[in-house]
Amino acid sequence: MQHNGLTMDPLQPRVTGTSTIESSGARYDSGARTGATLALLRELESSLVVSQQALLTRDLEGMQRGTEQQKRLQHELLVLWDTETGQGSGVQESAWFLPGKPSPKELQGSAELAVAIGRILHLARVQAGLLIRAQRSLKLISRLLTGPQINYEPPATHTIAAPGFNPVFRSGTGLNKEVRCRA
Amino acid sequence: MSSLNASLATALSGLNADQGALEATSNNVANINTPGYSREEPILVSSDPVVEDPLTFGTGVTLQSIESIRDPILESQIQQETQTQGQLNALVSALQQTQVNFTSNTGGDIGTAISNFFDSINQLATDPSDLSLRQGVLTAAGNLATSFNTTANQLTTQSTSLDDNVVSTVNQINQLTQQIAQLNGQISALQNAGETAGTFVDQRQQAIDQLSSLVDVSVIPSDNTLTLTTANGTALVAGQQSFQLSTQPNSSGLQDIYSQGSDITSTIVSGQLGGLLQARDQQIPAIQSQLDTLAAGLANAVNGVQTAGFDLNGNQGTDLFNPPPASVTGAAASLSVAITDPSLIAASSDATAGNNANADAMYALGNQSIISGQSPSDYYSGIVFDVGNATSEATAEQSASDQALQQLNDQRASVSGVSLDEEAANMVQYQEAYQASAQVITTVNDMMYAVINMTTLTG
Repeated sequence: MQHNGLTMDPLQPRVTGTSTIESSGARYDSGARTGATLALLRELESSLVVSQQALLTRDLEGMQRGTEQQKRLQHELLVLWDTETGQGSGVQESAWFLPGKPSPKELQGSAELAVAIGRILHLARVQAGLLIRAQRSLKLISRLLTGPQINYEPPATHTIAAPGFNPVFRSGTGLNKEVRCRA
Repeated sequence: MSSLNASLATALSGLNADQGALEATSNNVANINTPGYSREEPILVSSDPVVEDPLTFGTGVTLQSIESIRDPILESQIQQETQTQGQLNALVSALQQTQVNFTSNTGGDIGTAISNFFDSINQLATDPSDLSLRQGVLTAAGNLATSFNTTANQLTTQSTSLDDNVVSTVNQINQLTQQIAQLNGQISALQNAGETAGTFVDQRQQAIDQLSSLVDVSVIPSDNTLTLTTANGTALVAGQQSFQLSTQPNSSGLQDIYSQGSDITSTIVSGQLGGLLQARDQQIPAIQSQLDTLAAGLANAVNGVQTAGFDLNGNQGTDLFNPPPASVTGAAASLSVAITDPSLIAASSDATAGNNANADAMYALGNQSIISGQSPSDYYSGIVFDVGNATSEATAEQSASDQALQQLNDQRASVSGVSLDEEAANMVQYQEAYQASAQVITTVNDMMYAVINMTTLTG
């Protein structure tokens, strides 16, 4: 739904309704511009989905690959928009993913473009959430490994938890196991 | 000294050990679909040998223990993520309901009502003496007030509903902490007696998982038992004792949460309870406050212009809306039209019937920055956008939480879950070992029979 030009759902950014960019510096017709942008956004969307899987499975190479791909795509988008808007110095990088503050120039284009931007925004937020969790997970493991019972022997490669981490769960051969004695 | 009896005892130990191992396997298979069940693994060790120079004889096998396979780090991560998920579920659900409040008003949404109100004044400016146009302004003003009232009341209703949920969540927490304390006692008693407590440990872990989805929980393990606190350190369970939470109404009529006489409401930030409190105490009041600001600002601005003009009878104008409270609080819920006579609308600036200057001035308010530096429509659009944005952010966060939790649960299943293939292989292995031990016993029995016969013959 719309309220005076504003959408209820910020995943559907404000669209001015025109498909013609009225910038004097525009070199391409709006259809070509929109098409090129959509293609890049689709690629970015796929890249973010793949990155999320890599992040969940702690696939470091996949994460690295995804980040590089996203940086490249972001750069291409910035160049494209810079060309389109003829602003010379270019669009502020942060403006692309700044929730709630889309610039009018960015939001010109088709409804399809707006939907694509909304999807990217959602995926970027999910990605941010997953990154925060990965960081939290690393902190937890780091705290456990540098706990008060640390010793300076080389760690066993298969040991996950520091010995004695949890008195209820006595460490076995890597996985902590609760010992259940038989009567 | 090696003897047939010793061989018999050794074979018997094999039978017992394999029987126990098969029991563990059978328990694993039986619990393959039991939520929270952790796979059991029999630990077999060879019995102490007997040394008789120059020979050493083995004395069989002992089933030392049955271990439940768990990864405490994984459990801790699952617990943490479950808390986040519980909080986000409650928050997203509340925000989605709030969004509905802004779209499903029977009298139209506030944004449309604001536009209609100023449009009706614009119409009046074309013919200020037309009573039907004047009536149109009153109707639009009434609709505007109704829109504000409806939305504000819906938010209040939602807040009350969230408050009810807070109470029921606290009750659920109390039931679970009581259950965990009871399980602590059972586990402690069994483990102190050297008995198996794995089933109770699984049950306790499940109860902790459930509790984590309701409130932020920290688990502090100690010998054979667990202490649970909120993230802020409020005790929930200490060994076999549970500490009940309670609720008491505050000055606003909403329920605050108490633990042993202390108000801990503001310290609960995670789990379903955290989400409910966040929506009830932060999100909804913020929206209500913005709506009140809009309603009061709009009413005061319109009243200001109205009282500066003259009505159709040439009298000084009176308030169009009943003045909102000075504190602004409750302005949206109480907004109402003060006049019922359409001739009292002050469209004129010089007391002549055909003058429309004051109507024009009133219409101009629609585009003036009269509410915190914004026009009424823009300010309202900002509220709507903020609600949508908060919902989208929370939804994305919820999606991240769901994915992370799914991944962690998959990891737990790979560590602690039962694999039928593995259990089938174990079953065959133990069965064959059992048969072999039985064959040894049969053989020893035959040998004993031969010895006995030999003794009889020689005797």
